[in-house]
Amino acid sequence: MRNWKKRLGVCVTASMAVGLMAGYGMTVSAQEDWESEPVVLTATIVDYATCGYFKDAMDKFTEMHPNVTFEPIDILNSDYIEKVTTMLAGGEDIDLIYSKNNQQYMTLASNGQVENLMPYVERDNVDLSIYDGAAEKLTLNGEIYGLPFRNDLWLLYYNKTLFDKAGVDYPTDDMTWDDWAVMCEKMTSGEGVDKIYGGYLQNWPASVQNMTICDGKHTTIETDYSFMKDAYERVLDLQDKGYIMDYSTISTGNLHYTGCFFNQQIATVYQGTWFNTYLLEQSNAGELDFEWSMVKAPHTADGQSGDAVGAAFPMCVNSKSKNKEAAWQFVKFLTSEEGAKIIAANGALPAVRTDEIMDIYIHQEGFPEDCDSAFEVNQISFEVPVHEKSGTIGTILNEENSLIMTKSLSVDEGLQELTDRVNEALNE
Amino acid sequence: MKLLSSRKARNNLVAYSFIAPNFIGYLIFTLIPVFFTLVLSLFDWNAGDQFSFVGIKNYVRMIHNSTFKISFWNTIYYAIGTVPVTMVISLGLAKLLNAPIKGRTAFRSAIFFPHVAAVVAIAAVWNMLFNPDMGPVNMFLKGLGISNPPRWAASTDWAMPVVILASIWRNAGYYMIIYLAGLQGIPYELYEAAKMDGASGWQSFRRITLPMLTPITFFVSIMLTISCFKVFDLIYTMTEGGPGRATNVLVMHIYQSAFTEYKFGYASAVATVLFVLVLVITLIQFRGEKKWANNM
Repeated sequence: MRNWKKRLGVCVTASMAVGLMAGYGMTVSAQEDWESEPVVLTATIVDYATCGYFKDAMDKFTEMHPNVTFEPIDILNSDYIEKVTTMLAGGEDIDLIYSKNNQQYMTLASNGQVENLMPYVERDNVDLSIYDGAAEKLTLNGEIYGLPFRNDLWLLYYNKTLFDKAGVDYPTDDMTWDDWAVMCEKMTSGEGVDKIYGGYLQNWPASVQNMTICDGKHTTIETDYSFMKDAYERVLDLQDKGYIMDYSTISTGNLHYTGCFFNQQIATVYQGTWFNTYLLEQSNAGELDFEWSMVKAPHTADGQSGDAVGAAFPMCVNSKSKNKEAAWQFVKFLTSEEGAKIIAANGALPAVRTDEIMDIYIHQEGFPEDCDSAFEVNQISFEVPVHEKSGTIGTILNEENSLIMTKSLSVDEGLQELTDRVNEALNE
Repeated sequence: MKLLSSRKARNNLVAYSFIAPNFIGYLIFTLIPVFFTLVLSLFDWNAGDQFSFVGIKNYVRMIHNSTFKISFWNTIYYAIGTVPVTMVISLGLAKLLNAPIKGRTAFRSAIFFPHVAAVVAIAAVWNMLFNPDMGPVNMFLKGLGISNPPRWAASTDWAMPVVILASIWRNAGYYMIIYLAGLQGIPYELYEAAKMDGASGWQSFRRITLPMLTPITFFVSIMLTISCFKVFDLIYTMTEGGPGRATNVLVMHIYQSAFTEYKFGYASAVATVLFVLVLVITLIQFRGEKKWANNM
């Protein structure tokens, strides 16, 4: 019996010691020798087959370090979070994890499933200021769990041909949301199947809520949502007057901004730069019989041009990876200027945006001219900030948005319910 | 004696070996996960390495969670709206298509077809039919002079009825086939005797068909109820639980808690409640069936 207790005591002490080492041993050893042995890095990637930059970046990295090869796991966007969660819970051998959104990033970080990269950043003197503020937004209590390789921006896309036909001036980089509302009215014409809507907002909460957070004064996680009132009233008014497509029509018809824009049913659409990939593909295939372009997203009345909302995509290292050093080296490469050039050349907007990189991005085949200024950012907010409750609150934002947009609740009632539910979630 | 018992043992072994493949699959993919769900409901786990035992805290959280309450009542609403109507319609269709009418095979196939159609396609078609602005249903209602027709899936009041309607349309054909099999098992002599005794069509149906179909009706009611409590795919593809939480059901709540909010312990607690709920309803139906069958 005494022996048993002694053993238990040793075990407890040992596990506490391991715990302490794990908890406080935040420094990484000097760069390990990761280039001598063959290494295969497994990476979970969203839609790997359709975003060419991962393959190009991996090939380039293998060319630089022939001992490192890659085994990408291509996962559909719609299945990604479920699949990665299950794979990690099952202890599968994954080295690199693409974080699809802030909710996933937050969970991976708080679960300790991804490595804290701050010690690596400090050891290798990686400059986090090159990401235009995205790295700061991914930092939790001074630690960072993934470096951003892409940082998409929400912009205002427009059909130049429709504007020419209507004799209306093109949108500019310095418009308020009210200017945009007036423009939507001017650009709306026709009836029935021939109707052209002045504007289009996809049925996502971000489409309206971004208008209220772009100036950086608020985020989508707050304890009072009355600041969203103006934006909802503006959008509902545009919807009632038929200047933008109705939320219910979009939801029940499963409509997507790409189809509506390609079919020339809409003059302007507020969307993220991920839209460029589709636009360039269609444009270069000769499928589009109209001209298009983009400007900065409109800003609030007291905001300024370049107030933007973005979505950063970080690459993380599995904390259980057996090849952490090699995985970190790839993250460092992918999120460096060199990696950004590969990403830009493949039509995606990288997180590092030097003049040289933007030159590559903007001068791709099929890219419209004179839209360089659309990517100049004054300040950038995240759709949903990195927060321990961002998953729960994201669901609430979506549900209450649908109630307001379908007029199941008035704007005041909806925002009050949103406030109550978010407070309830925050206090849980 | 020894020989006999060894033969018996051998026979048992053969029988077990036949059951084994299925049972092992059932054990690994159903029984163990069910047991694991029960255990997990007592822990906080967000898919990481750390489990912390929280006792019944997840169940307490559930009682106070407004989304749980809403999805619980929505599930009951969906089941009450779906089960009786589907049963009546499928029995009616079975009775109609059991009669020797021209082209009945074609009718049977047409009615069964929704059951094999992809749920995503069904959702898209129903959403299109009931589109509040451009859908044929509202066009028709407007044509009849109704200026403000319901906004169907875009309205908190009408979204669930539309989902129920789609669900009835999808399931009626399948249960019709089961009823048809039951109808064909009723000896024709019973109807002949009733006819000779001067029974009307309704009396034959009431006194012969319905009692003879009791086991089938019982089976259909259990299967339908269970499927209603487990509904997910149709709602997810038609309304995603919206607008707001108007069509959010228990399985949807489990899915969101687990995969959007990473609260696997809490999601397991809801799953356990759903399991108990289905179990209780099935037991009540079993008891009811015994009484019902005895009184017939």
